[in-house]
Amino acid sequence: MKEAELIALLRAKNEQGMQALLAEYGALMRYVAAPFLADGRDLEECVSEAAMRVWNGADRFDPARGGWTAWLTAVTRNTALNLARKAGRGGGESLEENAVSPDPLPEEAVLRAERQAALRRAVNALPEGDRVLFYRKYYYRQSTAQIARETGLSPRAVEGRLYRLRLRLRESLGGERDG
Amino acid sequence: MDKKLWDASGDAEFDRLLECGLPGPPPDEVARAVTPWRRPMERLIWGLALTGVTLRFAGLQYWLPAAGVLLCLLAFRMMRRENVWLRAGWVLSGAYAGATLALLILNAFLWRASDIGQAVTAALTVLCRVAQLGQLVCLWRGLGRVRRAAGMPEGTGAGWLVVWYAGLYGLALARYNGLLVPLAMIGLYGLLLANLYRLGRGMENAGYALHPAPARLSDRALSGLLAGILAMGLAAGYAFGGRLPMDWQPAASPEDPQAAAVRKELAALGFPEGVLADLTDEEVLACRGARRLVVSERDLELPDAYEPGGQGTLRSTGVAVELPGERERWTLFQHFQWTGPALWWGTECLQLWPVYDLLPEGWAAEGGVSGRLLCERDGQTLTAPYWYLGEQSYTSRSVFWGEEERRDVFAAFSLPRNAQNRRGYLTYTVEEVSDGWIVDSWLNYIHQTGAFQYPVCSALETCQTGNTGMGSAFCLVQDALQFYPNDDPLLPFGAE
Repeated sequence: MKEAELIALLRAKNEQGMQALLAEYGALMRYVAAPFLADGRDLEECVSEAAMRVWNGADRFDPARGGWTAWLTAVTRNTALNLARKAGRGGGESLEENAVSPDPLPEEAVLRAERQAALRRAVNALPEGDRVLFYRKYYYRQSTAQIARETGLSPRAVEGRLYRLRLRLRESLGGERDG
Repeated sequence: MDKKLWDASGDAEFDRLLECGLPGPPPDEVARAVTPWRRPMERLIWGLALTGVTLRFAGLQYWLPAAGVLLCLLAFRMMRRENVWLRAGWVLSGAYAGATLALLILNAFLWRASDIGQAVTAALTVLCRVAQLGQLVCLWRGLGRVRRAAGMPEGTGAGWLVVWYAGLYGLALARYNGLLVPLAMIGLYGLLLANLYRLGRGMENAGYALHPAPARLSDRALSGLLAGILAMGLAAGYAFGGRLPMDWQPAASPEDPQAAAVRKELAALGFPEGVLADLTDEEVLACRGARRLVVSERDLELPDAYEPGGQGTLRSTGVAVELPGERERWTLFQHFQWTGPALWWGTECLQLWPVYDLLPEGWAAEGGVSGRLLCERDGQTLTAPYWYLGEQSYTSRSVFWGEEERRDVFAAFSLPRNAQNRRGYLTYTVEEVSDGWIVDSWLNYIHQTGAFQYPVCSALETCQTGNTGMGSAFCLVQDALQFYPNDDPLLPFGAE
């Protein structure tokens, strides 16, 4: 099924859309959620919950703001993060699909907005390979071992690349270097 | 920029700040790039495409498929723990890569042209073809299982790859030489690439179910290791495998007093002393009672001589000795001598066109062709038999004469790198069949001018394929001993 057809079915609240979502994108959703959730049952719960969020929020998907895969990834990732927090801390505030953390205080919000703007500029300035590595590490929370397996590098090489990535970001963000 | 925003005492703290400051979901191209399937699938697609490429230009027919085999190996390595089919594909891709590596290294050794070498090459080639086809079957079944594991229907279309490759092998085995086959091959190749692309796209979502296997060696390290083995194998081939094994022994001093007397007779008739000194006592004694002789001496130009202009490096001397008897009989000696150094001493070859082959109406062979090699090292004369001396049939391809089956006399050998005065000769005897025919005997000398050629060929192989032109690692020089033998042996030659 084509992406546009699937989105149309979901927006029309057609159950075939949900079935197609799980059939076509279930593997992707499990893949994104897995680094956050060690338990298999939590993972399946996360996929179901994320699918429900997509079902309920398909109208909010705006192709002008980003692609379908990125949006679906964001919904699943945030769902997984919420479940992980609940499991770890006995509950907490939930993230919306495009949010990255719970609502902060006003001062924190200003700081966060500044940080996000600075980080966006710094990340956009990274070479493509480093940009993907950044998102793997900090957004998808993939382990060094997973990154190594999927990129064909040794774990040590991944650590080295992450070290250089941090240095580069520290330089472009203006933070103090460690050591 | 406000430094305080990003001040962190350590990596963990800085990581936390980065996670907190994430600017939002990744761009779509990044989201699509973060997947376990893309790397192995892209490698598989490129690998399969490259292994199907045969561009006969600048050695690409060897290196592009080799790169393809490596890519397939890396792809299967990542997917090997996914299911039993992909694990089998990994084993087969390892066998395919090993056999390909061995074939590439074998191509740097002259040994590959020997009977055992040819058998090994044939076995490795069959292993490559079987492993390639098996690899495709494993890919087809393995990816189907990946899709099933992802809750998707199994069909990947990879089964068509097996059919196409089987078809290609069938066409290759049939050895069809028409025009339609190349066109069909191009069409098939286009279909193959299109199918590979569709396969990749079709696996995009199912591929998230892959769990790439961890590896002790990174892809780069494994590629580097294989490249290192290949480089060492090629270096060993060029250093030690590009020469023919020769049996150089100290030459025995001529001691037979009868032979010494005949040597004096021949020298008195004008036999060049340098050539005469190289002949064995048996060869000299066979010329006892010589009536007269004909001598032809020429310096041949070789392109790789040290001297500017490159002339006079190889001296060719032809001597024809008329033997006593009722019927006219001649013993011919065709001698060569290196008078200067060459840039490279690899393999050499003499191709003899004896007069009994060129003019069978006038002359017949009496016995076979013999000869030997000589050189000086540390003041001592060394001698060796030719590595190969005899007749061989081959298919000659010439711009002028087209394709024809030929049978010529060849002498294949290597000359020592640390020696002086390298030389050798061929000799044979002919008897007259009918009167009035000239004596016309040709000697072609094929010399290796450089080490770098791939696959490595001997001068003998090159002589038979005729590949001695521009861009070849070999050059060809020719000389002929030609004369008209008059009937009266008492008249000086040419005075008739």
